[in-house]
Amino acid sequence: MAIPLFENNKPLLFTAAVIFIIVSLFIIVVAFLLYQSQKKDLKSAAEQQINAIADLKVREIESWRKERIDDARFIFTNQIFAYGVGRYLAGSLSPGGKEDIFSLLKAMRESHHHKNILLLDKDKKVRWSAEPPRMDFSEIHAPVIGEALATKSIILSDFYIDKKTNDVHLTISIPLLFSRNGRESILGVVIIVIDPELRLYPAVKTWPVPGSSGEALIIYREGNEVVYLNQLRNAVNRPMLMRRSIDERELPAVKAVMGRRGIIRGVDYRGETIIASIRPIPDSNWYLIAKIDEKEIYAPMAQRFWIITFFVIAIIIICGAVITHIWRYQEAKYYRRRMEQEDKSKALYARSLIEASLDPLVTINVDGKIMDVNSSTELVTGLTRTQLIGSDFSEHFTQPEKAKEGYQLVFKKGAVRDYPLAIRSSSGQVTEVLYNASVYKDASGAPQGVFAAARDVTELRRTQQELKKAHDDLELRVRERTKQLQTANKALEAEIREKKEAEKLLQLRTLLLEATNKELESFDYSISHDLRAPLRAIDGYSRMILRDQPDRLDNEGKRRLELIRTNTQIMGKLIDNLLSFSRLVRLELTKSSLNMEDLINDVWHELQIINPGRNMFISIKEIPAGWGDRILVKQVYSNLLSNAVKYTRTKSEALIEAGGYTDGDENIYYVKDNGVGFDMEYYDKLFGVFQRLHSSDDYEGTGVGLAIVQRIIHRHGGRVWAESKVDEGAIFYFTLQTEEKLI
Amino acid sequence: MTTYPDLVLVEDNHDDIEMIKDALKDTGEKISTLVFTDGAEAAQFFFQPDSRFRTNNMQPPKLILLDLKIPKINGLELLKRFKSDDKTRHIPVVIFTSSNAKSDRMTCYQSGANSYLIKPLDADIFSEYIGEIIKYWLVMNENVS
Repeated sequence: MAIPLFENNKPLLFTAAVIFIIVSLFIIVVAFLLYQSQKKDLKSAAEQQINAIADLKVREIESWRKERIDDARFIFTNQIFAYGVGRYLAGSLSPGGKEDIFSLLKAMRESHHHKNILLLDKDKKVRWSAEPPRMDFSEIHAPVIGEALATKSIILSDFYIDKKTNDVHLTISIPLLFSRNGRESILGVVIIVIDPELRLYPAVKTWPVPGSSGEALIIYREGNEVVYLNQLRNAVNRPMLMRRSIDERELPAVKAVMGRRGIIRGVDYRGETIIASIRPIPDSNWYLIAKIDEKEIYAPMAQRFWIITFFVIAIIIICGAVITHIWRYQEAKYYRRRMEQEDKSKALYARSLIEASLDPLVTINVDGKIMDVNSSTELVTGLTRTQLIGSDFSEHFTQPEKAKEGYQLVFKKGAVRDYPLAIRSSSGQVTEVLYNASVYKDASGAPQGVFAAARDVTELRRTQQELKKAHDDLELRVRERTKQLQTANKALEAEIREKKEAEKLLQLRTLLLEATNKELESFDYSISHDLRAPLRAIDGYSRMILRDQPDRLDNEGKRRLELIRTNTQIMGKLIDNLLSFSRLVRLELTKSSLNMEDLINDVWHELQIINPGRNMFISIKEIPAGWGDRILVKQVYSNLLSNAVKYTRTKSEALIEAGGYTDGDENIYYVKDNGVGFDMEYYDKLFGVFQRLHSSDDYEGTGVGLAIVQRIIHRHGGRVWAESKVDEGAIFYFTLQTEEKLI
Repeated sequence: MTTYPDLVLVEDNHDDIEMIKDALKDTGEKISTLVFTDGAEAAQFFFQPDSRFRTNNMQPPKLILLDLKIPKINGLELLKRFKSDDKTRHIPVVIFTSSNAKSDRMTCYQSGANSYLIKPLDADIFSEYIGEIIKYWLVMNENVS
């Protein structure tokens, strides 16, 4: 079964994240485009609006001008009026005629709220005025009047500003012509002074739609400046007082005089960015500009921006939620699939475990019927799986009742352990088993059946019996052996006790020895210092007497003093010997393998030097290597050989023999001479300190030599002894342990 | 004029002192000798700030003959003090003792002894030793001053 499964769910998560990001970006782009198109719509709507307003204003101004000119034309074309005026100027008009003329002019002024109406003769002299005119009126308006007279047509002037009052006004100059007999003559000129504040400015000013920044302007060019003709909404200046250089290219007014028409974008006199519509006003050098702040146009966009942003975020969140939901769903699906697969493999695994078991395994339902078996069960019963499933569990045992009781017990208690039964196979073969079983339940906890595992214990029983036999045998042997051991143990314990006591004794002796050594050390010092000092004094004074007062002593006295001195020297030697003997006790032994023949030869060589002229010979027989302290063993030979030399003095020739042999774990060495020997009766005094067997007159010496020999050999763990007969020489033996044993 | 001893003898045994003096006589040299019979006396003479030796700017002796086994302050300690004091460090010290222990010899030499002699038992040899010591350290040897 091949379900394509990812190793883990990461790719799924990644895909979800990518989709989310793409969708979010798409939403943002769409929102942006929507925003832009809305902005564009607003702009074009505003443009249409100001175009319409501009057209409206132009039409209003146009109609205003047309009305003014139409009014003027009424006078211009009125020949009766012209005749009357001609008469008036000539001074030949009746008062009734005057009344007719001037009431017409007055009525005209009143009906249209003109500022003034004046009548000038052809010399531009004011002949009549509804209001008292300014003195310089003719001069100010001369160009227009001149033009009207020259062109014989109605002239609507530009705006004029009264420099004194800052009042703005326009004039209409109407030439008065009179035709007679086909001859046309100019009588004068009627001038109407119009206040633009009355109708023109309000017409321009009113903005037909609601808004805060909408404004219409009338401008014209004067030299290198643009002049704002009407009252500006946002400027304090009076009309005509506001002028700007045409170098300020961004100004819509400058753009207008430079020839731009229709919709433009620019920066107005306040510095604000505006959208404007420009129109020239026909039959004049005026331009109309209808403008509105860009800010106002786009003001609704701020709100729309937030609305769009809100929707974008909302949509993104919804998308996120949807994608998360889908992802969760996919993930759940993935885990479900994986679990299903795992379940399947687990089931296979469990089955293979069951089949791999060597123990017969069965499941039994509540009625005691077999539901499932493994191959081991087939083997032990001799029946196939299909035969077994559905059969009664108890019928496969030698004791069906006991088997039944067994599984009923399981249902009752939940589990049983080591329940003994015997399986009878189809061929009648009986297998002893122990059952371990437990109830298995469904998800609600209701018992479904019993899972039972049997263990073949035939082999176990046999082994147990064998073991028991072996165990019994062993017990018997152990008992015997224990008896033997107990006896041996008692002996050992006794031995250990003895050893421990010996060890204690040894420790005690070591302590004693150490104490003795210390004492001996200070004893040595006393001997060398305290004993020798008086001797030195005895000798010193004796010497002084002998030297300083020889005449007071006779020869016998001198001889005896000399004897005193000799004896002090002997005493000194005795002390020295005693010291070296006592030191032997303390000296550390430095043992090594010794060539005894070499040692003997060395000593013999020295003896030959000390005893010149002696007829003496040594023969060294076979001699094993020794194990001991070189200096001390040499001392032993030195003492033994010098004794041998000393006590053979009376013989014509001294024959000395040295040798040795191995006996067990010790070597025995000897020195033999043909000297005077000694009486074995005094043997016990032979090795004593300061003990002598011969008089010191016959044989010099302090009686320490053999004592030293004995001490050295004892310290090596050996023995010393001697054999002799008077005048038949002596033989001295000593032993040293062999090297092997010591190691 | 300041008087000063040629030889300082630190020795407690009166017999030895007499024998040494006798031997000095035998040399034929005129030797002024100062004897201290215990270590404390010697230390007082050499190291006490108001001592004759310190205050009189006395010329140091040519030799100190020192026994090891002396009362109060023993010879070895005295030797160490001689060799660690600026005023006495250069004075030759000859150990003259009856101890022939190897350890004594070793520590004395390590502490700066100039010579180590064992008192001989034979009076002739004893006298001879003293003669040789005087001949070497007081006659032949050139000291600091």
